[in-house]
Amino acid sequence: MLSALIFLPLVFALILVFIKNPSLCRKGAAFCSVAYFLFSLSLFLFFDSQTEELQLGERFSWFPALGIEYFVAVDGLSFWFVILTAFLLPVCVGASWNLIKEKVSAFYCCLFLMITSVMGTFLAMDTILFYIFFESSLIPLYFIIGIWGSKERIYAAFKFFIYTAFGSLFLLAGLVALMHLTLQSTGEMSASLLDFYKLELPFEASLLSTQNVLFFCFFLAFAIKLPFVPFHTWLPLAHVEAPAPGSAVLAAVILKMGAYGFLRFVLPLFPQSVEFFASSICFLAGVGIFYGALMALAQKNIKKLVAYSSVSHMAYVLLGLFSLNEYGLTGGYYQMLTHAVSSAGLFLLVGILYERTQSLNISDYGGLAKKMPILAINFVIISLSAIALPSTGGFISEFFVLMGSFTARNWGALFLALWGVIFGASYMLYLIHRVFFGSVSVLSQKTSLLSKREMGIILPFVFLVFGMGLFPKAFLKYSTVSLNHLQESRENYNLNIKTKNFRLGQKHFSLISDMSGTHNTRRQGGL
Amino acid sequence: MSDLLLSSPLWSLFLFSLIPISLKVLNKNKESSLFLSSGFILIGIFTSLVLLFLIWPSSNIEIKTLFSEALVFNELRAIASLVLLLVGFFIVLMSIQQPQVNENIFSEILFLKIGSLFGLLILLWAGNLLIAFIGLELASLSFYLLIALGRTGSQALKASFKYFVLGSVASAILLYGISFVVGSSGHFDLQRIFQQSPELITSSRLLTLGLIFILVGFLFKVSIFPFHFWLPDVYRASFTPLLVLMATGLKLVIFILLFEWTRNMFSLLEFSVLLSLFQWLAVLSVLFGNIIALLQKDFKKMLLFSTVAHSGYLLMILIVSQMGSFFGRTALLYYLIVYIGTTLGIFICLRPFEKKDSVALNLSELDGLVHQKPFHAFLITLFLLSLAGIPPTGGFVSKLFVFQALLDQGLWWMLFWAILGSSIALFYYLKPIALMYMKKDLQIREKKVFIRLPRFLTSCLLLLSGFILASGLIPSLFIFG
Repeated sequence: MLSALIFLPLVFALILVFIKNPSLCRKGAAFCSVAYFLFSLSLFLFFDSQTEELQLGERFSWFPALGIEYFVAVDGLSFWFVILTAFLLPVCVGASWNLIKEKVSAFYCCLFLMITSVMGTFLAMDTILFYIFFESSLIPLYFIIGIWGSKERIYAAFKFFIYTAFGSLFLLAGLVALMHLTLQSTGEMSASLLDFYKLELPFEASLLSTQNVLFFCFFLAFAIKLPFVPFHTWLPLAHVEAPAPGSAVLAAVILKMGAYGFLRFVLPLFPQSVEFFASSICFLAGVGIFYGALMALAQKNIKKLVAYSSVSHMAYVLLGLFSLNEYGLTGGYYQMLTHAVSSAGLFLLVGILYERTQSLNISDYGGLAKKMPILAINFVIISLSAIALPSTGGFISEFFVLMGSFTARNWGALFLALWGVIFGASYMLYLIHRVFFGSVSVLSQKTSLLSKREMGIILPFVFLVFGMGLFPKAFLKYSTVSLNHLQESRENYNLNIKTKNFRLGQKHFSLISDMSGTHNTRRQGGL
Repeated sequence: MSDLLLSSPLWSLFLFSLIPISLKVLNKNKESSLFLSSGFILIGIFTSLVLLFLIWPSSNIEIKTLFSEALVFNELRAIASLVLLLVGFFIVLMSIQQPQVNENIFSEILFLKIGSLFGLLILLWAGNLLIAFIGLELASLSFYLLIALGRTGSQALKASFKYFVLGSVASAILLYGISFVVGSSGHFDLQRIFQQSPELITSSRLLTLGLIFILVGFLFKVSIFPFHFWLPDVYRASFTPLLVLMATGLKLVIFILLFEWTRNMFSLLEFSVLLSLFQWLAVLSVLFGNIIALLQKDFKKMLLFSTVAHSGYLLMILIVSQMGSFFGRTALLYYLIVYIGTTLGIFICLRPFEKKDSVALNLSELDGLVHQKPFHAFLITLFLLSLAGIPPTGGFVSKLFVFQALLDQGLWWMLFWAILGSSIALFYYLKPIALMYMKKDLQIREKKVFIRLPRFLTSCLLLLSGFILASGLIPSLFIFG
């Protein structure tokens, strides 16, 4: 099932790339993406939200010489990202309908390939497999920015690729080091995340102790991806140059891959280092929130403004996660989801505007609310979520993050984050004011009302904004158990495999049956 | 008799290489058809391959010695011979209808190419230092001649002469080193020295000096920094198949041979100075190779300098495996095989850009290639990504192996430089991709005219690209030992 989720888009991509007729290709892509999204919804039926164990997965030996496995599984941490990724595919296909005019089949091929690699990143439980998906997601996005982007696209694509690839080389080094440490402790080389969790990494309160060095390797890779100030400079550029669907995927899931890395790797693998550096990272996250908001306030380009707001909002995620308490963790996690919805929604709306006017300069617009009232309403609603107004999703997450930061007594970070909230409201309202109100500018005259297709793309986002704000429990119930497990047993984190519906290769199958035979009383025998 | 039988892959190759040139002589110095003469050579290589399989060592540890231990043959060398013969196969195919090859002397060129292959095989099988020297010289002399024959005009002669002088100096250093080693230990066989009298190396300065000289002589041929300065001259003069042979075959043979000979050398002895010297050479090769490649505007030159960096990675694996690393051999073989496959692939991909009068290939010639030749652009991208070590290509697994090998010995500082080097490499490997796919102004300019890629080369390309993907996705298939 999970393999199908990962590789179906790959199959679709290989089919789509050979369809030369653009309109047929669009229809094919739309059909495939909707079918794929519906298929991913079946996860709701099989997923058990009452356990933190890994579910529904597959585990086979793949590259035994280095102990690398094909090991995919889903749990509470990755569940929503899987749904989110699948949801984004039909939306992006819809958003590119008229926007992409040349090399249509190649575009859809890149888009579907990207979904494959992102989905693989969220589902992989073998670290090298994770790395392969993590790294190969760069290639399709590199092409999407570089081929279908605007003027500075080549430079932007380059910078994006090299920044993130540079970071992930350190990640690879860290992974290889962990593989060697498992070899030393168990006598068998393994790249499985479950084996990494069992490692006791030596820690001292010095910068060069093993755990701290590894922590830095991982931190650098994920911080660049997140992106964390001061490694953020690739993001605004990439956002401005990418076509709207590319921006939406970038904001909604690619950045989340960095945040997910913190959740999945950094917090459970290096508990002492995390505690050791937590307060300083929280402070830096506070700086990031403040800096991102301040930069957003100064932007003249709509997309750049939204991009800097992303920088600011992703820093909330980090602030929440490194508060190291229940509130912060939940808030940080929920912030990932709400930010995905609000930023992807905003980028798609900006894309719709751009399709009509070919301009991203804020000063070109004005009085758009009179010309495009429905777009204006949607834009305001989604940006309210970014501002974190009560009853929108953003409120819940930012409230929890600040609460977590308060509980952890990170006063400096809290102070900066609160200023960030105020600036956040001002840059968004200022943007709305300049674009939608005031006198009608020349460019705004040319606009036309939203089509049905565009309404169809945007409305889900509006519903999600309110849904996440009014019924957070309905969303969080799938992850609470996993998050609590992470919070409570961070010192010696461990995950087990729920054997029901789990397909195992020969070696692991015998291991499991041995375990359950000897430890009948203990439910969590497993690996 | 059994010696002759065992060495049959060598002499069958040599005998078949004589056929086209003899035909030419018998036919009043008139060149027979390209396909006929290449056909004979290909049959020769194929025969060698078959003979190689007949004498394939039955087990991992079996060692066969020939001609009173002048030639040695074991599993590793058998695998390397197999790869080398396959390289020869591709090289011969690449030479057919190659625009820069003078078709009036095609038989001679083929003879010299197989001569160099023959030399490389002898080098690969060499059981002692003298045989290795003979093999290396046989290969090098063929290279000098091939460079001189490559293109008309004084430039080729000049480059050939330059390479000849530099190469002779390297050979002289090698020979000098051999004389030191033999003089101080009385043996021509390095492994025997390490096994029988390891104490000599710590006590005898002369032996240490000799070893350094020998290694330098070999490293010159694989263009390890700072012995890479002959590359630009050779590049300017020689034609592409020869470049590929020097970048792949020579590297393969020398690294395998060094692996076989220096086994235990670094771990056994207190070679702290020598060890750190070679570690630094590897690191500097990675860094300088990548930086120089970054500065190139010529695509082929860029690839050539990137081979300096790849030599550096290979030297890293070599050093680490001689320090007693667990999977040094596997890593070395895998890296070499994937690297050779990729290099062959990318140079075959550049065939349509070949010109009669120059080997230069400016990066700007790749502009907007995807509009005219989308599949070709895709293949070039695939090979470049593999060279850059991006998954899901074989190059990624190679990189994984390098990291594994380095961390196996706890060499964090070398790993740091390796990471830095491969990030620099990203810049120049991505640049051609950006040019091919992302330039939009092609419609304005007139369409470029490309040489058509012959069908047999297209199938070679498909084979190689399949190999690159397979080695990345199912690496277990390509793990030996």
